[in-house]
Amino acid sequence: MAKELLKGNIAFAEAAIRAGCEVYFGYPITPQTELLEHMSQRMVELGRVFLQAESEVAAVNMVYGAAAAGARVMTSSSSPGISLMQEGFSYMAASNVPAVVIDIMRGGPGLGNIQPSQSDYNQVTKSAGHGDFHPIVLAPSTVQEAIDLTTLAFDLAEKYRTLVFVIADGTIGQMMEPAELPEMKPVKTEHPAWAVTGAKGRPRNVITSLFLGAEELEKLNIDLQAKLLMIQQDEEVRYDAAHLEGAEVVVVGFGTAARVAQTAVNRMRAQGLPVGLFRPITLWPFPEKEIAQLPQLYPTIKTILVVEMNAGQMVHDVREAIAGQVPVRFTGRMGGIVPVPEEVEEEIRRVLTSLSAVTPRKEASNGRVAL
Amino acid sequence: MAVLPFNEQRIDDVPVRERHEELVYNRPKALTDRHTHYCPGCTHGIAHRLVAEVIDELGIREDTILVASVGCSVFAYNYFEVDSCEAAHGRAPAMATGVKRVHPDKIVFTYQGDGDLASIGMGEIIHTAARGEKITTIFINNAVYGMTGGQMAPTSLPGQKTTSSPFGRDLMLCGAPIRVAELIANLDGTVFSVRRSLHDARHIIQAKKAIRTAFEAQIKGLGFSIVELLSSCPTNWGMTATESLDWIRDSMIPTYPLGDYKIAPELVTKKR
Amino acid sequence: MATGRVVIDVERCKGCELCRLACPQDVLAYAAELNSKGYRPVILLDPHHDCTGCALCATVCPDGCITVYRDINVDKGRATTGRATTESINNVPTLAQHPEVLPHG
Repeated sequence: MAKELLKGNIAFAEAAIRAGCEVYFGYPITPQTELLEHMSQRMVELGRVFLQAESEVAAVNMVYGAAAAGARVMTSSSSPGISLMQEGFSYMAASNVPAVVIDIMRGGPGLGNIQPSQSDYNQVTKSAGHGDFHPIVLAPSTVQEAIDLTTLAFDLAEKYRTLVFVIADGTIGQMMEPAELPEMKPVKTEHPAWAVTGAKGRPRNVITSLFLGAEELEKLNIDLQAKLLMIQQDEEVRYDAAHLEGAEVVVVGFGTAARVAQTAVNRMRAQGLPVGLFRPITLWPFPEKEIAQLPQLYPTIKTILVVEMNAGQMVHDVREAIAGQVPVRFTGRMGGIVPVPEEVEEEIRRVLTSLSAVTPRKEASNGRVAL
Repeated sequence: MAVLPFNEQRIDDVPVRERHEELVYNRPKALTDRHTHYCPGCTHGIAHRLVAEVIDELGIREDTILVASVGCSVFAYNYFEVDSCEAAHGRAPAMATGVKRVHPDKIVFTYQGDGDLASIGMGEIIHTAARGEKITTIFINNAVYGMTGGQMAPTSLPGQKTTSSPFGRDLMLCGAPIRVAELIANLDGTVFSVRRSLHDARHIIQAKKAIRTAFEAQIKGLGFSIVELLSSCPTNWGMTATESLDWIRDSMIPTYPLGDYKIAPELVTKKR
Repeated sequence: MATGRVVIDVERCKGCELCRLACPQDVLAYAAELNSKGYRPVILLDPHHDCTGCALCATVCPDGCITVYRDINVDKGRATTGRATTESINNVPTLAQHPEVLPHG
């Protein structure tokens, strides 16, 4: 298929349709509304299920029902709506049902505003609902990647019977870029054996998140953690990197922040400055091992600079991964402000200047770099 | 009260006449063998049984999907021999919507109590009815939160003492009871909304007829159907099982009149 | 008057007494023993064959413990027509084939 100029929100929606999404439930909220609007037309044209729910709470529980019934189902929302949906996410995690969620984040807390933001990184990767679970979280930084990751999201959701989030912000949702859509996949005709479809000629199926016995619930949690570990070990971790060779400062960012950082890094590399970029694509599972290895693989690295559109959330995961090998610094904007490449560049220069002022780092006896 | 040991009710005591007798009543197949967790005399069990009898009679067990709710009926999925899911508190109609939209040819019903349906889940039930979602709701009104220990429900009666209205329900503070069957009947998507009671055999038989009609409404694809059942909660009302039946009759029915609040013309059977 | 009998699953019975209240013939009684859950179940006490098999007890039983049988008068065909019947069961095993509903001996 040829490339066409596509708006991010439309790309998410159309990619889901082509990935065989049979059912969509949603509720209007800026800046994801075009996604719902696109679904309202296309799903109906294709004879699939579209329903505008009365609230995000209802929408997510409709998703839960459709997922329990064995359908390829999706919803989409933005930060305040995602907060309302957390109830359903937790129940779905406990019931091991697959679903895809597109979260076009906006500035918070509260109603906040409708500007692009990444302030829900922690919410989505660490506390998508009560209880011990993580959804898989994918973070595109281009419209093309929005398409590719949405397609992937459905496959991962079904492979692991889990929730998969694709998170972006208003920038990616609203921007237009040339991108290529995949061919239309046929909608599956069979439902999984565990789904509630009517107990015809088989023992009945029960989808529940209620396990009153402590041992029973611990077992559920053990199984859930085993599944999460499997996802982490199954090479589902995805990331992108550039200019790491010889880099003294590596900028780490995701989504829109990574795009901005990429521009800054490219410009500085053109000027011969030792700067690289690392972009996590899966925010959960987080590329912890890959980041941990950076200072060993590239001994020139002296500092990691994390750029986010929040007060510093992913930076904690980066620090945990780096585990003190090199300093990890942070720069970010909040309230829906997208940093411009110049300010990221300025911050990188500041780090580079401070590096030249301190003594070169010493090699520790274990081969790791001491601070 | 005659008291006999079990062993006096032995098979020998019953005249042997298997060859000449017919089965009049047996436990419905749509119930599992599991013993329920309901308190002795709780009429939840009757409601379960009636729904199961209707499922048996309509021959829809293998096509039926239950969406259970949160409250005393949280374990309903253990008792019905059908595919089941357990929804979040109040969200059963939304979850049922999801199930039904995926399987429009299946029979989907929710089983909800008054805290679930008329309090936390009021938004979901109203919109599900308004959409004319082709599902059936069995609504148990026992004027109290049962599972959490007898707190005031939206359906608690004026002046009713509960563990969270120890001085009696004060209408100035808490408003008046919500009459669900009347409320839901007002929505265009509703095709069947009636209130029945489970306090004696005659009313139970009427309740079963209503449940049957509610399922038939769904089978015919007409729209949303609901049966509100006045039910007892002996434990939280602080009564014996039999006293609680009197309380339904004497105290609840005046506030919640039994009746047909909406019956679509397609469901009206001609009276002879 | 037709006669009938009921078989009560005493393990399932919670002794709530609703069946005794509903029984027009007063043929249901409490057992002397408790069942394994600690409830005192109801049993059939019908020395004079007063039970008519009307099934009102089963109609009100919250726990579905009661199975009801009614005599068929061989000479005159069915003695009565059932109310509150379920159409689901036709060929039902006899009591002797139903050890799980037999009272504890």
